[in-house]
Amino acid sequence: MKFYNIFIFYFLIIFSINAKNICSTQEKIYADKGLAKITIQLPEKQKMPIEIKIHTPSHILIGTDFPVVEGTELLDISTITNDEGRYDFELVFPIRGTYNIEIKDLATNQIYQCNLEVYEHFQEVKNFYILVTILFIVGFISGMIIFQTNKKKIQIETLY
Amino acid sequence: MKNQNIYKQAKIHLRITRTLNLSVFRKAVIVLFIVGIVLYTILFTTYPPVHDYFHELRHSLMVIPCH
Repeated sequence: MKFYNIFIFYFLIIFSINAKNICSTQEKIYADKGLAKITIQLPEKQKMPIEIKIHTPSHILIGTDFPVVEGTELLDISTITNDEGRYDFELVFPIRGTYNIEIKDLATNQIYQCNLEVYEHFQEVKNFYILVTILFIVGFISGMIIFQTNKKKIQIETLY
Repeated sequence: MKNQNIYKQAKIHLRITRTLNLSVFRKAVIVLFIVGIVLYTILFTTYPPVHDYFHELRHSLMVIPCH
């Protein structure tokens, strides 16, 4: 079983190395922030008919604000690259995680895969931490009040 | 005579308050219940008027499922 895992890791590493050459972005992509520009550069530098498929990631433990799109197909188009084997497109990524991009070369039937990392919007992360701190403060204050009232009653009972 | 009345009153008072007394556990349960109801209505309910009002708040909190 462990040897089996090593083989999987080996293939994953190969895919990730292969992917860096094909999909590239100019800057960090944030979820639900706006249009993000992605460029696809094929190894064959000529006009090529391609099919692009993008799958959204699925989160199990900590979900996102948009659970309907988790683990579904985001994009499925077939286009033609320019003369240098390059194709640019813009897309809004709805949730965070690693997106799996599958590019199929329709001329040679070769499939390239690459992963795209999308980060959560920094303002949303900030808001999440604010919510957690508010909940902690509310819990702390309510606990303090409960404990104090109980303490006073014990003191009264001991007086008589 | 005055002191005796005071003692009587104190005993009656204690008898009443003892029956009204809630343990820490019960208080904690009540607080958690109220907090749970409030959080559910704000963040997790599907009731349209409430959901629509807090829609953007839900989307801006990273982990709250909205639609």
